[in-house]
Amino acid sequence: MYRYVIKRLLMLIPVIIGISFLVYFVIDLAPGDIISQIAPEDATIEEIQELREEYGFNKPILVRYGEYMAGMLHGDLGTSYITGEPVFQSYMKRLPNTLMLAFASIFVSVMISIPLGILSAVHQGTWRDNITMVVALLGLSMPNFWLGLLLIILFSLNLGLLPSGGYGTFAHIILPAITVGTGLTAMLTRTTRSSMLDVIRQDYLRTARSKGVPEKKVINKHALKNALIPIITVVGTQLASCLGGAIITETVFSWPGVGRLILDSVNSRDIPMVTGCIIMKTITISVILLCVDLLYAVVDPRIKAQYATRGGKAHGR
Amino acid sequence: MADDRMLVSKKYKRRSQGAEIWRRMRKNKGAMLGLALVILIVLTAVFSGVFLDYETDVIGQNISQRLQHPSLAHPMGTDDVGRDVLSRLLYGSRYSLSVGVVAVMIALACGVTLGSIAGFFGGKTEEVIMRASDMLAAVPSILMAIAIVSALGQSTLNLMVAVGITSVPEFVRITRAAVLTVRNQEYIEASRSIGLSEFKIIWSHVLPNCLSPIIVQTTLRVASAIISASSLSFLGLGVPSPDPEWGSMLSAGRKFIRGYGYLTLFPGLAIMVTVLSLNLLGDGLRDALDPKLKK
Amino acid sequence: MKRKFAALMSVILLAGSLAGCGGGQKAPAQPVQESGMDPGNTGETTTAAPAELPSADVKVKETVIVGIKAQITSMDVQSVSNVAHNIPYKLTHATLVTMNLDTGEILPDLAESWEWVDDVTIEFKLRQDAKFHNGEPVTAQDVVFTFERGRDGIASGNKMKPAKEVTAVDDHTVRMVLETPNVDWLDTISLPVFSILSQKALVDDPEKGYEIGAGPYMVKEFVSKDYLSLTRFEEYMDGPVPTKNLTLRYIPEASARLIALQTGEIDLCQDPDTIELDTIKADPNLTLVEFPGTTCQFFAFNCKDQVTGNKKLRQAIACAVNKQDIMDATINGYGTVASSFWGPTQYGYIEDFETWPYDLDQARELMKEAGLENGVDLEITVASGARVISAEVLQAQLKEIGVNVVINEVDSAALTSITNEARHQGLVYGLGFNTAGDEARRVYGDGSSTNRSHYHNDRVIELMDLAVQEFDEAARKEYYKEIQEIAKDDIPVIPLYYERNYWGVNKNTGGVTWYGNSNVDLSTVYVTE
Repeated sequence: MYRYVIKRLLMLIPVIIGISFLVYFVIDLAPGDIISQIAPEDATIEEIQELREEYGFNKPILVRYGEYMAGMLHGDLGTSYITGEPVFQSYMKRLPNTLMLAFASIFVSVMISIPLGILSAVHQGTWRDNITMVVALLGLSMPNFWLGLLLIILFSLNLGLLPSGGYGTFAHIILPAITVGTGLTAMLTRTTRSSMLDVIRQDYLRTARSKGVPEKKVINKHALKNALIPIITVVGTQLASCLGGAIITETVFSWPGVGRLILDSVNSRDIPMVTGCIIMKTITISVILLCVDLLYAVVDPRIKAQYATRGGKAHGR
Repeated sequence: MADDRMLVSKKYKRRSQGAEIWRRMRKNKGAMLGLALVILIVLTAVFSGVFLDYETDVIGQNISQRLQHPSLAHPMGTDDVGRDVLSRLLYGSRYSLSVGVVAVMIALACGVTLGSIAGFFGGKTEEVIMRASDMLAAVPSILMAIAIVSALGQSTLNLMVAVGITSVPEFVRITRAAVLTVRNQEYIEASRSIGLSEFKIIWSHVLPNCLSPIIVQTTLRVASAIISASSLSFLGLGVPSPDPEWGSMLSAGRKFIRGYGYLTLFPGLAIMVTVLSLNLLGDGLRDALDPKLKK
Repeated sequence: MKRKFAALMSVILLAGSLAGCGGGQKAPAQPVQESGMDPGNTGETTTAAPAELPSADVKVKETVIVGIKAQITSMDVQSVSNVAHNIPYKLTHATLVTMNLDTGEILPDLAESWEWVDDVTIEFKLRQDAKFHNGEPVTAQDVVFTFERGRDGIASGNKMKPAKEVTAVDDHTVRMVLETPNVDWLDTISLPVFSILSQKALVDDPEKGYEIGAGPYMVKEFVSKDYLSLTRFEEYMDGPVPTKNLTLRYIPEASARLIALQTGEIDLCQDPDTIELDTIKADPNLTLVEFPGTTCQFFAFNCKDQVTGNKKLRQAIACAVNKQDIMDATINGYGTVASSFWGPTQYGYIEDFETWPYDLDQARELMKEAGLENGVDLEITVASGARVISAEVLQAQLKEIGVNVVINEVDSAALTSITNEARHQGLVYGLGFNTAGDEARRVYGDGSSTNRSHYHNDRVIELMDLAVQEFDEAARKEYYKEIQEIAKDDIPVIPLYYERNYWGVNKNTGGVTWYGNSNVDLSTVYVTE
């Protein structure tokens, strides 16, 4: 078990090196650089050249990347060119917002998907099945920014119920969470449905039914419990993808999360900030996925045995 | 997964399999609706060029007619430079669909190649490919797309490449998983024994038997690529103006959302219907192709 | 004005005239209109400064929230210098002198008076009662320290170069020796990038000490790229300002920003989208503030490019551009068509300047003279956002004369480097003008990064040099007129229109100075209950 955890964490190292390399180069390849963003509006072209030299942009990219990674070795993710703040600090300032939005969105998604998935599985092939799936797909089918703006207009402007943006109170998170969460329901409803379909036909459910357990109880208690593992897997991966930051939703609701931070930094070519944030994000996501995997082991002893024998492969999806 | 244990008359078997899938699909009303809509949209895209002229109907401006609400002359109104929204919407199906399809084709080509190599050969090759794919998957797709479009410059092709690259890992994963299930079947052994080259084996014996998850994934990915393209438009990195891709129309219309809601409503609905139908179709295909769910 | 007259009278006169502001030659004060709920009623009209204060008997809201459209990335005044940052810096920090940005008039701030000792030496007397947020008095030593620190600042480094030597004569007297006579110096040091920092604060806390200033508000909490929360400085030298807490909140989406105003989440909304102005007018709780802007949107050509280096082609295009249509499509007509690439409040501005007419026949004729009667391809570079629409309209208009426009949409970082390296052909962009006549150098001077046409004309350079040394008003204006006429003929830049500025505010808002160059002064903002 410990060996498995350590192996997973060690596997992160090449991934981080690969990702940072990829990101660093892609951003550097983009036309324009940070100097155009920090130089005063009335700087002369000559002054801009001087600044470029001062910031070391005349060195070859491999040298700059090497210097950056040397800092990484000492645990220094670099300093933002724009704000002058350490990248780690900026990331941590935003992480709670992103986590909050991610969990709230997952919550919304779970609250919608599981009932829909059960309903659809129980009525497989009927019109109810079809309608349920259409409903589950609605959120996914609408571009996020459109949905977000429509929600703001309806709930903030017309009904005056919820704040239109910003953060701080519980009310602030509702609309962004719905925007992100409804986009996730399709996947989760599908999983719930197919997982329930698998389970519903199992012998022990037939046994339960024949023993006279009411159908509702059969579904909610016996079936759902056994259908949970694939659902947890999907929730885990969705949580991970939410942690990437919901850039669009964050912009529409002026929610200061990690995604927005990375986007702004890409736009201003703030390379240390982008690279550092992506590295941090990769670590965060990996740790969360690892936790999800470990959770299985706790839930299901069979998987635990697997880790012990094979040294473990990531859960198959 | 298709049942491949028998080698008996492959041709005959496949046809009957197709018929069986079609029979199951037809029972699924959602999937049939999705299919019908997808066909309709594809036809629109193909024939919009016949009855609409790009220069006049699609990008021809008329400032004096700007921001007209829907009327008989302009059933979906006009936009901020006086272009007919309906014409642009119909013509835009070409851009939206082709962004979705081409992006996924790029992903498909890369993903399936790498995935089947990884699955078939295993060992070090597999390890390297899968780690690289994990790496790519670790960067959030939208951020990756932003970075790629920023780096390559804004054009429709680059947008397709960016959206495509972000879907590669998913195809790698799925293909590899599918290949793994057929790799050790007897008929592969048989092909080896008669001296077929490895690539020939992959191409003509392994892949055809892994198709169903790939087909399903392709359908769903086209849908999500269309959404990704619209998100990139929102961030100013979409299909360059004045081409009427739905996502960029929706994004351009958002500042008019209150007074002139039709400017976002129609492109929004177009995207919604397309994505919804593709998803219904994909779900239907999945059900139909999955023998476990046979009733 | 507390300006003391120094021995070198002429220098002051020169300074005044250069700033476009000496005694009688003030540019006309720009009227500010606050249109109430009746769309037809232009409402009250006031001049830009000074902002009125609430009468003593009304209660004002303790907390005022402003929705801003651009991020604040740093509170180090010496690190950034642009409109988005000047607004907050003006709230937290104080400069030696300030300027009425509409008239160019120099006003005392931390310095109560100043005099030119000789033509490169100026002495400032500091106010005795000014204090920093940490309670320390503002002394001459702080000014010296500020300039020392500023030499390494990203934004301040170059700006402070003209000051060869800054020394403290006594606790409240500062002497500056300049490299060369510089008549614009007082204008320059009124910029927020010259805000005086507290030496003690920065010695105590090198990390964050720059947040301590002598302005009316203290930084309570600053989250870069998100919000800036301020609290009033009770010991502010001019007495405490009316509002206790002031927050600047970044809301990127214009429509969301306006909705936040309508729902009362914010009290002031910067730059609502022009299409939604009627919404503000129709809302009984809101007031639409409207004031002329000095930002000119333009269509520039790269004069170094092979295609756009062709003067006849540029002239042809100038005749084929319908500016009104572009303005209508881009900002729904809320602006003024521009005829010369010159600031409307800039010294030397000519009303009714005669430029190229919109005349397609003449345009086609010029295309022939350019040798391009068979058409030509032209790439227009534009940053994502509203200006893309301008580019689209230009594309449609230029098709008429056989110019096939390809739009190259890029982000602003890319745009800046593309134009700096002269890799563009056409460019749609904007430029904010200030009051000084010598602003022309930013547009037509060699090596200026805002000379996005890479335009060079010996005569124009000569005229700019002549004008800056000319005491005689008429002659000086004549020079500037000639520059504009040459620029019209060479047409490196086609000015399109001046944007009008709009803010949506809570109807009980007061105390704001609405400057045309968008550096809105919010120091004394208040909202009555």
